[in-house]
Amino acid sequence: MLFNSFQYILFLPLVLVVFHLMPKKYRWIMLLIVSYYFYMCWKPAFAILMFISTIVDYWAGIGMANTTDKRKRKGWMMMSLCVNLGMLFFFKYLNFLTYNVEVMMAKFNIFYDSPILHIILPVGISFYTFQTLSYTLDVYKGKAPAERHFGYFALYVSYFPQLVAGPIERPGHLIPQLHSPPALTKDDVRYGINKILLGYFKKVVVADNLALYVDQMFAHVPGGTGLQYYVASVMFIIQLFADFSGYTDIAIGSARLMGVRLQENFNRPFFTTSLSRFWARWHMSLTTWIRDYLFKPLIFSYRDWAWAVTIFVFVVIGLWHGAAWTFVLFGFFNGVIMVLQNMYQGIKPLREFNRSRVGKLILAIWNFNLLALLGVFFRSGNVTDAFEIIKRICLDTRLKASDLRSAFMAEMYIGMILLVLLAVTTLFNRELRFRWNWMYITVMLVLIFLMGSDSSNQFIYFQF
Amino acid sequence: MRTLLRYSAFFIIAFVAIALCLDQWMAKKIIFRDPNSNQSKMLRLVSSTDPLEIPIFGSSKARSAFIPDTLGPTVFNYGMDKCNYDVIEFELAHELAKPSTAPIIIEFNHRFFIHEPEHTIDAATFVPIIDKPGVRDYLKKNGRDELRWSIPGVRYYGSILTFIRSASRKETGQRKHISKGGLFIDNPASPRVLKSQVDARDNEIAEQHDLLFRKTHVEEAISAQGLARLQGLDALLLFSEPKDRIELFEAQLAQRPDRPILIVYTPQHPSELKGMANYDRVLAKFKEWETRFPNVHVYNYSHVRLPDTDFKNIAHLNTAGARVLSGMLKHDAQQYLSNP
Repeated sequence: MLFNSFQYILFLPLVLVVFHLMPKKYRWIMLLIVSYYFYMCWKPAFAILMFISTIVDYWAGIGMANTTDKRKRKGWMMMSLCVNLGMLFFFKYLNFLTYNVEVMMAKFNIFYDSPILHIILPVGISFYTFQTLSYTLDVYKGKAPAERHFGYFALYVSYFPQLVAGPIERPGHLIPQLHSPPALTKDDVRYGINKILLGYFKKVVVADNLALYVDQMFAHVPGGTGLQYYVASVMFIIQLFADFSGYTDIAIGSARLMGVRLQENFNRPFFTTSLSRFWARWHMSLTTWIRDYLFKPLIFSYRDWAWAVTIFVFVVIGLWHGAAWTFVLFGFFNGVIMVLQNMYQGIKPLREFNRSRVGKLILAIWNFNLLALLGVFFRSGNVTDAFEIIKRICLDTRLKASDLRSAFMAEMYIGMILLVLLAVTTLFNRELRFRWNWMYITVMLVLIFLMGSDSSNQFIYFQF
Repeated sequence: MRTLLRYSAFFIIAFVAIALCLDQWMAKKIIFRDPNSNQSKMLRLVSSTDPLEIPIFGSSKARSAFIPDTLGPTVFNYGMDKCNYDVIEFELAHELAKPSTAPIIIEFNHRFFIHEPEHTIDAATFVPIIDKPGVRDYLKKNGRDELRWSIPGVRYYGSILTFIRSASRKETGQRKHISKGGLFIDNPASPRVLKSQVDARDNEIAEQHDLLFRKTHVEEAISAQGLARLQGLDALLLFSEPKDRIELFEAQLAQRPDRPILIVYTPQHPSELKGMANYDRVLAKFKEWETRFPNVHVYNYSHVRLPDTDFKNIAHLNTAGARVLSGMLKHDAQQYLSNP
């Protein structure tokens, strides 16, 4: 069930009414049932995997809590890691690996025909796997207590608002709220509704309409000029933001209407002057996960190889997004540029300039353009297309207005209007408090009805 | 619970009020304002009883290629975006049910029979006429019927921008002309853009060959992604012949022997035909149809070589190209067009 579907518009109010009518101690049962129903709407069999993951991590948590023996605790933790990462590897990376091994062997004249497994990637597997892993690792490190109630633990893994595309919640933040959600206040309701409306605006108005132009341009490479591809790559990075942050907003808003506060995933990421600052504000629940469970342990062990650790970690982030060389390169170039940016920012004579307003503005524009270029790897169907597009953007520098006119003009103009509208939303305060809240609701509803796209596009991050 | 209901009340009222107001505004003022929009064309098709009207059915290629005023006083161009036999099946069914004996012109291209209703059947075209006879059944048959399309307030959601855009379109512009359903752009494609599009097509052909080679030679590798890509490229480049769709089309061709049906393959940019390895299948089908159905006449202009300046892009003719095609068709099919 997609958030931008007619079914969800009926599903959420129904769930909220039943949730608030139900006695508090039975709410978890109802939420668990609707969460599994929500997930099984894609493919019922997927729920089995999530259930396996839940059982394994529940056992592992209890096992670790019941012993003080370090070796045994480590054994439970390793068991959880193997099962969860094993499932993730099988469903997401196995075909990629066998295919590449086959190609590599062919280079050495060793031919074998590996079978292609027709595996369907379970929706949101990367998200709930990381969420359950954070539970196991936190319990192992003693940062969070083991959850002894199986129902609440299962709900922590499957809680429907954030199940398929995050935010990736930590046990210490979400489980206590599921046990005893605070009483719903009028601020919660106002914030929840405002946040959901903002999410729909970002998804169905901005992202889905930008997709019309972006999809056309990326479908037939190199069917455009440098300028056309530049516009498409800028629109794509905005589309990606609107799509993913739109999903997160709907998730946060939906949970808030049940009194649950999910963590924020984005913090105006484009207003940054370097990639490291960008990643500190983009998909924060993933980047903090990677920082805590991967980057910190690695940097602790390999302090002198910080640059290599950075690149490695970003390759992992790239691979987390998908099993394709485009994602590997996306991560690799992010890592390399970040290392170079850190070196640049270490140059003393430039520090003053970088801190000045002009310097910040130049760096922000530069950084945004870097992101647009990196986004080409994220969006392209294959590596050849990605390099071809980047070549066009960098080398085909003849700027002609007629080029823009001849490439899906209407879609492009609508895209420009949407960028302005999206930019306006960044001026909203974080709590989404408005002096005239009725006006905000009215304007958002009008925009959604008028300009909403009915393409029923999946959220881009569902595929991860 | 009370808090939720109390503070949601305004939201619910605003949602319903805005939805219904926009719905009524669309229904009464916007949707059918442009007589050349897709939805107006469909309304015209299902309501028109003009026995002399010669309809042209086809995709956006048809819309930009056939000039009704050149072809005859009663010709109307029903060409629309993304329209292939998925939609023409509906149009033909309605047209053939009319008592008229006027000819029907069908624009043909190698993607004519690709069956992808979720892409070809546009809600914005059909929802405004959903209560007309046969429309709901047609949508159901193609898996494109949705409950909300019957609910005022949400039925037009997703199509409103399309309606507003078509309603605000001017009949004539400096470089654009709209006439009797046709939409003609004067500007030729800029050489750079055209070259990029030709390059892209060449890449696609090369990629298709490469994937096909890997697929047929087991010692080479092809990933699941590669297989899916190959299927997509085949659909783009080759003539697709789903048996059931062709049978359905042939049944419609045979339905009214008294109505001439002119199948026209419009002039294509060379890059459009370059990768079509099974072009002979198209020719065989044309021959078969002309033999089996005496009322079917095929006009194959696909290989007529027009200069690049006659194209808006590699897929569409511009006004100059449309003039050439319409002139040729007018001359070749004079006996049917001049006396419908």
